[in-house]
Amino acid sequence: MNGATLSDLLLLIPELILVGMALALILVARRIRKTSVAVVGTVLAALAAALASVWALPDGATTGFGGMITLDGYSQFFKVLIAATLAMAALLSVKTIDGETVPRGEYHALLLLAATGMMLAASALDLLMLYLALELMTLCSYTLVGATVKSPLANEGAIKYFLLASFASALFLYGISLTYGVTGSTDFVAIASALSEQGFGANPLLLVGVGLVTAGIAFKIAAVPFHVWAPDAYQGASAPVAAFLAAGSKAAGLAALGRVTLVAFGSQAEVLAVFLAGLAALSLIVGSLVLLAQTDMKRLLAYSSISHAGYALLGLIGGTAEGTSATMTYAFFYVFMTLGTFGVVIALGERGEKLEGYQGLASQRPAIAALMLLFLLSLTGIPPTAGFAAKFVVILSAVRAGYTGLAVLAVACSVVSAFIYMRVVVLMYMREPQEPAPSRFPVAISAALALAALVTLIGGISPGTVVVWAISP
Amino acid sequence: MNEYIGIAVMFVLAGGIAGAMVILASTLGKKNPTPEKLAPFECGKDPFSLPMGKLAIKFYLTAILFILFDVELVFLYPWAVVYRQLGLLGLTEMGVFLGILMVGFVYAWDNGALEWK
Amino acid sequence: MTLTATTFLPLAGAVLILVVGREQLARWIALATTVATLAVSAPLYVNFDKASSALQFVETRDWIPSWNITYGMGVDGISLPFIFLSSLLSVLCIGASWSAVQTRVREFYAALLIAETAMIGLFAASNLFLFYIFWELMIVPLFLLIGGWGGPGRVYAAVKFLLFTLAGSVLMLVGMVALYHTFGTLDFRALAAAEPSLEPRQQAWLFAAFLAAFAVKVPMFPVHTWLPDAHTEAPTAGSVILAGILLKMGAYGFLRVSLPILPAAVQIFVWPMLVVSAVAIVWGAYVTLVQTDVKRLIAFSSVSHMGFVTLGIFTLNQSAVEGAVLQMINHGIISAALFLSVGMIYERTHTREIKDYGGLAKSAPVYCTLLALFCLAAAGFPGLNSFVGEFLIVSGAFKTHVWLGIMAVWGVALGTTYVVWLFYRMVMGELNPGLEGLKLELNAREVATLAPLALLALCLGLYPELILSYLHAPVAQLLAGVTP
Repeated sequence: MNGATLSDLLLLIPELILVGMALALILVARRIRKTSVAVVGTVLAALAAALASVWALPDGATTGFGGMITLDGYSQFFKVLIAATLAMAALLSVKTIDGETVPRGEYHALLLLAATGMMLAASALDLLMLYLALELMTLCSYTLVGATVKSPLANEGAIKYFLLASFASALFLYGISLTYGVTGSTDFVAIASALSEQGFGANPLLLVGVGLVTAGIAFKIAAVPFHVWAPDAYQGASAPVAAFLAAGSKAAGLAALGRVTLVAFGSQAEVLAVFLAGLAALSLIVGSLVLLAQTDMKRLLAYSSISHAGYALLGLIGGTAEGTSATMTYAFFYVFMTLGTFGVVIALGERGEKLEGYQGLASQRPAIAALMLLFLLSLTGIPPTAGFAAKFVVILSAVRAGYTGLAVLAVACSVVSAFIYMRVVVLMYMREPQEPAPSRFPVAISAALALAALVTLIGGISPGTVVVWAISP
Repeated sequence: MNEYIGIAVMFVLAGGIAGAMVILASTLGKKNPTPEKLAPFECGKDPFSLPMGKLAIKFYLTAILFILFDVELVFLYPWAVVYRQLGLLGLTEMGVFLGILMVGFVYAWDNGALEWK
Repeated sequence: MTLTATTFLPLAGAVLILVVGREQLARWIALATTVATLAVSAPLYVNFDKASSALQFVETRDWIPSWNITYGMGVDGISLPFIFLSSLLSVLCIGASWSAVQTRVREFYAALLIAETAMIGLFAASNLFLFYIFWELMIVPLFLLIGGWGGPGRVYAAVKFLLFTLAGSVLMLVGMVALYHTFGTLDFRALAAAEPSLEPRQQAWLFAAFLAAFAVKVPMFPVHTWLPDAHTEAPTAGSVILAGILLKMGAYGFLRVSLPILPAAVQIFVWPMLVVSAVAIVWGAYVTLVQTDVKRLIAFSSVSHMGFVTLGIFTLNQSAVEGAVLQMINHGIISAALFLSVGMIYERTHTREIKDYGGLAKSAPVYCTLLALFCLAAAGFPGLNSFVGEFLIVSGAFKTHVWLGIMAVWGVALGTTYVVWLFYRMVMGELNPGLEGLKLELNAREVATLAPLALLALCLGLYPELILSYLHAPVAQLLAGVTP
């Protein structure tokens, strides 16, 4: 490519920090005696990356590496979000990573490398760069899902995830090659100009290519009908890994999809809208309905994340900058409320992984039950939580795009899913406890829960603080 | 186009004859399978282990490491060819690339992947 | 600042209760907070200008500038009586639950206080976004109250309540978003001023969306099925808040949202609404007659009484609408009083079946006197508050159509019947053998809880202008926008 200079490396400082810490952890993996060392390292790297992405460069978009990477407001927003996800996932892992079943250094190195892939995906301005980033994220995720080697569920989840994700990547690559074939480039800007001249009428293969690219990314965010991997992978993985996947993979996928639909394929928004609306509607319906039958908490949260992918997609249907901002806002609040819910699941240990384990929690541990209540209210979308603010803004985008029926479907699905979210509340507050009170959990988990609760509350009372930062590409 | 006609005819003939043999044999031939006829042939004795035996997992590990460092080498060749045009950036980037792979090598070495026991 | 202080003081009290450890202290903090809320809201009633129909005590602050949403509070003559009713009923609820609630006391009072914040906030909100937030916020503490401290069927009742009200509210969300998309603002006055640009078809759809939420809350005839379970299974305080305030929120929604902003749709929907209201009055009264559980009886009577309210609102004439608002206040007072009384006797006898009662007159004279007062008030006895409200509504109904008036009067007659019959079965005759040896008379705290309501029932019955004077100006302005 032309014009790549040494200063382009400055654009990648956040990713380089994460990779550097990952390599350091790999080198000293056998010498780490306590989990806290790895956790502290990861959290520090995440903080440094977040700061670097906000302050490394002066304002204004800067593109580098021949137009493949950019560091504009959009990517900064997602980099900060992903750094927060990484830090919280590391904090939540302290109980699970006891060094015996899951090696400490390697686990955190994988988390860091997956986060690198996610951050790159938010900055990518080229389809191949996007593929690279998403593959980096997914490869590390396969290993993370299967990290608890002794558990047969983990092995099953990892294999299923691997096979389905490889297939999806193949489809994605095929879509890229078809798009390249018709438009002559894989760069978003070049594709956009080629599309605005020709449109889909020039070559029907282009429609197939665009559809496959969108489908490949839809797999990463677990939208129906590309969601089949999610419940098994989340259930098989250990809870912190499931949390990281649910939050980070979705944020990265939405970041990628936002840029692809708005920048690369923006001129064909009406055609894409139909496809995205279909994805959203299916995700909402399947996610909410199948949610009703779940009794394993991680599987429940997997279906919940599938339905939330549907809500987030509502913002992208209009193909406008405000819609993409709405999706960004939704991704932000969704990450924190999901990490919070998973955090409660992790804090309760084995008891937290099945639905009946929540019986009578309010009389035994009122604080944790109250936190779970807050996160469940946010997942349902009841004010004054961040989940309501997020829902408001995506429903607004759907109505603005003219898809009012879809908006009604979305709110109807939220009532359906309310039934099961409130079932957890019923179990916690309205039933007698069957099991002994859960033991104390480490400070790290409390810190992560506190951060998630803070964002959920502040997002509900004053969403403007986040919305201002959600700048479309 | 004319040059390829010969090959195409050859392809069709060969495929056709082989395919015909297989299809005719499987459809027209008499079938009378017995357990003895279907067992794998082992010079008259009953087979007591898999033909290959158990495969040492070390082969897999060595193969994976070989692939990784071989692909690294493959990247080095085109880089070497355009080295002058790339300048300092090229050197730095390749240095970072090799460095990352060196870390992986040290990790493999440290964790006994290069041992053969 | 008065409105914000009144709204959020209970929330501060709730946080204080959750932070402070001890249970007995929680009760006193709750009582102090609710009394303080009443006190803080006093300037609202003293300094209110009854002649003006504009919003008063207005507070606006920028909240979410990027969405053009402001934090706006303001009251007019219609909302002010409800704020008073909410604050008063909250104090009485705390008093009634003093000895009744023994488990997880802190959470109970915290939930009550959060519910009070939501109630007052809803009536004080001057834009639709804030209105919606308080509307939905109300659902959670009540869900917890019913499900956590209620009777045997409480979980079913709580979940049913939650799902019904949530289903209605989310449709209101879509309606609200559609309004926002069309006009770019959610302030009530701005929307009312801009409404002429909405076509009747669009207005009809929006009306339907808001109707879903308000009809479930009121509750109107087909979607009322959550009410008997919720009211019966809720603890006393929960029933009081449900019957006293929550039902009024639905009707208030009609007055605040549907009538000013969607007048063309109101004209389209007026006859279906009138018919459904009339059906609710009569059908609700008949169902009430056959109930054997006291609380369920009072719950069904609420369906019938709220039918009067919606009938009054949709006749769209000045005196009937004023009567409807007055009736909302009256019903709030009366049903709260009835639920409180039932709760007090239930604490002693632990049964809600009417057949387990009888002959309370000799053992509990004070209780029976108060109960008689409230029963007569519910029946619409002249001199007590309900009479005026029902009279105004019935006269408005007759003006609209003779048959509506006939059904309304029939509803009044049935209302008298079931209430008097209930009183007869519970109070007259010989003491039921199952109640021997129980100390049935009220103690001082309970009399103090019921006394304000009795006093209000008398005052409003003798001098209804006390409330009506607030209503003349705003109702006139409201109807000026609706009637073509």
